[in-house]
Amino acid sequence: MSAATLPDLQDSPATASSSGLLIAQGLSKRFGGVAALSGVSITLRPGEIHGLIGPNGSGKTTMLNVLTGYYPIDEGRIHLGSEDLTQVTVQRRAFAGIARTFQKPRLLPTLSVLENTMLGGWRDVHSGMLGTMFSAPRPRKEDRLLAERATELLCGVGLGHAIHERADVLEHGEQRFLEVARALAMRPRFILLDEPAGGLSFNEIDALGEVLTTLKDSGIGVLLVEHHTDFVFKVCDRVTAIDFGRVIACDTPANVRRNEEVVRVYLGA
Amino acid sequence: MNHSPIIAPQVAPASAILCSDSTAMNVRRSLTLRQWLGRAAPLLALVLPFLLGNEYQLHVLTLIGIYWVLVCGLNLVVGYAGQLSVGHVGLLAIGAYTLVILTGRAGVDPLVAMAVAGVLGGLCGFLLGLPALRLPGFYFAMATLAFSLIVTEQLVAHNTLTGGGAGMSAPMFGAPFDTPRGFYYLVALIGLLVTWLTWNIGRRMWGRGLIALRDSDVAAAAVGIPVFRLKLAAFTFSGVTAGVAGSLFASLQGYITPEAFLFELGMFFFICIIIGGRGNIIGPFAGTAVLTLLPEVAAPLAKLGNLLYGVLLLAAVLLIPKGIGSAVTAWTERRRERRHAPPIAPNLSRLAAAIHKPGEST
Amino acid sequence: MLNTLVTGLATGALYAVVAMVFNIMYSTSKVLSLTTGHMAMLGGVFGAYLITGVGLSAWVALPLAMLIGAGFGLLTEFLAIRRVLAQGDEHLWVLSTLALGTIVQHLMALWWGTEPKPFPRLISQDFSAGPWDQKYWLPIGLAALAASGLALFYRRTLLGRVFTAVAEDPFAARARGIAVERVRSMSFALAGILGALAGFAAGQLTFAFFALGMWLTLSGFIALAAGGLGSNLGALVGGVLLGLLSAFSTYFFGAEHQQSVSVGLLLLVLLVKPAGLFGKGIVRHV
Repeated sequence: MSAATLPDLQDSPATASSSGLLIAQGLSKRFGGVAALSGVSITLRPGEIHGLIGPNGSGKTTMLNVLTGYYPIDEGRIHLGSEDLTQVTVQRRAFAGIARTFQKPRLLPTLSVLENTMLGGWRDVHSGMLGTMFSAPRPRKEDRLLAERATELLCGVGLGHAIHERADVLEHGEQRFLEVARALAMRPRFILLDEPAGGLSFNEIDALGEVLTTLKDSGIGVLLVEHHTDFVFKVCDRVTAIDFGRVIACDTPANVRRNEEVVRVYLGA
Repeated sequence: MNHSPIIAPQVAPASAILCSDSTAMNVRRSLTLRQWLGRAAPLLALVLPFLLGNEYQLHVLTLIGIYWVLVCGLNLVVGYAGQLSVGHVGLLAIGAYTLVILTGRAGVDPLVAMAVAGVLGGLCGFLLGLPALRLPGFYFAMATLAFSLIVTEQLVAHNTLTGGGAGMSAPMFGAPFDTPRGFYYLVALIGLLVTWLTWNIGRRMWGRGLIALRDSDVAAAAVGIPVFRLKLAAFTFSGVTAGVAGSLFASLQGYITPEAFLFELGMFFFICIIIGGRGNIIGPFAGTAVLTLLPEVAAPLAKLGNLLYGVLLLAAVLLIPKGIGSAVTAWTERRRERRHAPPIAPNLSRLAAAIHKPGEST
Repeated sequence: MLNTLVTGLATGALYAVVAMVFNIMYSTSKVLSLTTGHMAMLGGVFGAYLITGVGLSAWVALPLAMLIGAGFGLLTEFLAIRRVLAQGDEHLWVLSTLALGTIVQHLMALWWGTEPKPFPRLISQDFSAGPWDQKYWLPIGLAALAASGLALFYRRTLLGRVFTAVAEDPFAARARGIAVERVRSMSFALAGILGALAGFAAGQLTFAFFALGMWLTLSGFIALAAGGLGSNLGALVGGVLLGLLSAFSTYFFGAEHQQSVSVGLLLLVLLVKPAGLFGKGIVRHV
């Protein structure tokens, strides 16, 4: 890993195509008169956990929303491998392998934990409404396979005890893990997590860290947007720090922690 | 607080997961009552005519069945996908007049005309949904309302085709459906078929997708669900059922005028679903049955009927906003213990295995 | 032809004021109440009753009618909005306001009767005034007055600015010590007052009729959608547009297509520019 404090400029889409990197270059986004992001670049690699930290209002969630396609960007480009995702819809990016969780968990309260997780498998649903209506073999098979996969994922993240509970009786920590399981049901190449440690107990944060490490070892690229800086420094391979919509550091956790500007922004010294 | 020791969480065997009877897979005991009702209702539907006293009662029952054919399809749009469609009476009217015009002016067999009515209803649903479903909630509601108003006004305006304000008479269906009881069975069969179709949708991924549109379209997009396409498909289907229901409605009434298709009826269908409860099939059916029977039961009240209807509706919205279905569920669940969640203990090897397992398409 | 023009302007003015009433309630609650048209209906019916039935002068009947409007507005907020807002689901307030509107409509049917009854003359004027008849110019005058009055209210008075604050950011307003619920009640009362005033002023045009509510709600919404939600200038423009379109289509094509034309306008606007002429787009926060 290089010791550069600026985003790696040698990762252009041309070299990235075979390695499947998610590259965002020079992203800018304005809301009215406010620049939420100014020229932010970030590179996500498979099998790497990349942290994104910054104070409140620094643009972390905006960055995530822009990467997943909920907000169109004013300037910049986003590539996944050789595919240009800049103008592409949220759904298309999901199918390309980009999954996400939300700052405030968005679950379907009347469905079970299992069904909520299965929703992530939509990518593998090829049956149409007509086939489903007439109970054709394909939708039934898809349902069965998705249920099996979802069960394995839920047990894997530690929610095996709650598979058949309604999602609205889950505690906060469980909801966050459910979102992770749903994201994994998408068979993603990258998972973008929006403050997943928010409101978790110490045990749960440790469990989350273990889960993320397993994801990384499995070859998934992780973007961890977090407020919980200790957790970020412990778990991440690289960390990007932003403030007021600009990148102020991008380096190993150890170096970012020592970076003068980061210290100043966080401690106000 | 004592938690159970940290052990690998128990896993429900795969066979238990395949609980394909309920509309939501294996969501606790709350479905036992619903499952029971779900099995009993079709049987009851088939046996009921023999239990009834007079033809008038059979007429009301048949009407419930016809309304249900429409409401069942609409349920996917309103109850599952959460769209505020209040104008389906327009599609009902299109179905009704299709039957009446094809049989009356072109001598087509009623069964064939009914099929055409279904297709036409679906087509109109598709054409209406195409622009309207892009609108936010209340605007969409007004657009469907507007549609139903245009339909009724145009039905009066084009009086050479439709008989205008005076209306047209509707034929009975051919044997064996040409007796009240025979016609009831036609309606019941179609009703059961439509119920089966929507039940299949509701309990598979399409049903979950529709619910996602209602409860979190942001999350739906995040997992790749084509929001508009799902809404349009459900809406088109609801147009088909409305068209079929319309032709049956015309035949039952024997004579139709545009006045039979006022916007209040469109609101009525919408209310049946909301009052019954969204996200399942039994609830809206109960809602349809109750709300259709209400004016019959309240007949002595006559003039006060409408007023009472408004009062009941307001009371229902304020007291049981989630519908009769969940009020019943809440009551049957009232003695459930508070849930104690054990600590979250990931099984990392299992997780890694699950991630590496190939998906459907590979 | 001139009659058609003036009719169009007058009905358009009525629709415009109903649209403004929508705006007032929407601004503090984000709810589009289906009782809006009924507020105007009440103004017309009670105005006719108080003047013709009870024998009061118009000067006394008007404030009384406005009071009744305010009462109905408060009732709407209390019964149909307050408890339901907490739930967050759109369909619930659609149903609760619809139910309340139905209740009011049928209460009126029982009490006032189902026949449209004439509304009394407010200013002494004989019936040969043609296009200058007060039944046209009262609503037109009111619409202009309402638009400018509301603009002044929102921009120049303290209460108006408080309303605007609550509309833009209820959370921040509450943090600044503003009693958001009370402001909402007040705005619904204001809406009721303006609604009743509209019904009163347009009474000679529409007659005192119990079933007016639903059609006025829909027409007011069409004006609102065309002009842009949240904009009173848009309400004015949208209303006049709708009124003129409706009047002229009746003149050229006959009354049998009147509804189709009005709602056709709605559908067209929603297709081409859902935010309306002066409306702002909504940014969805994820």
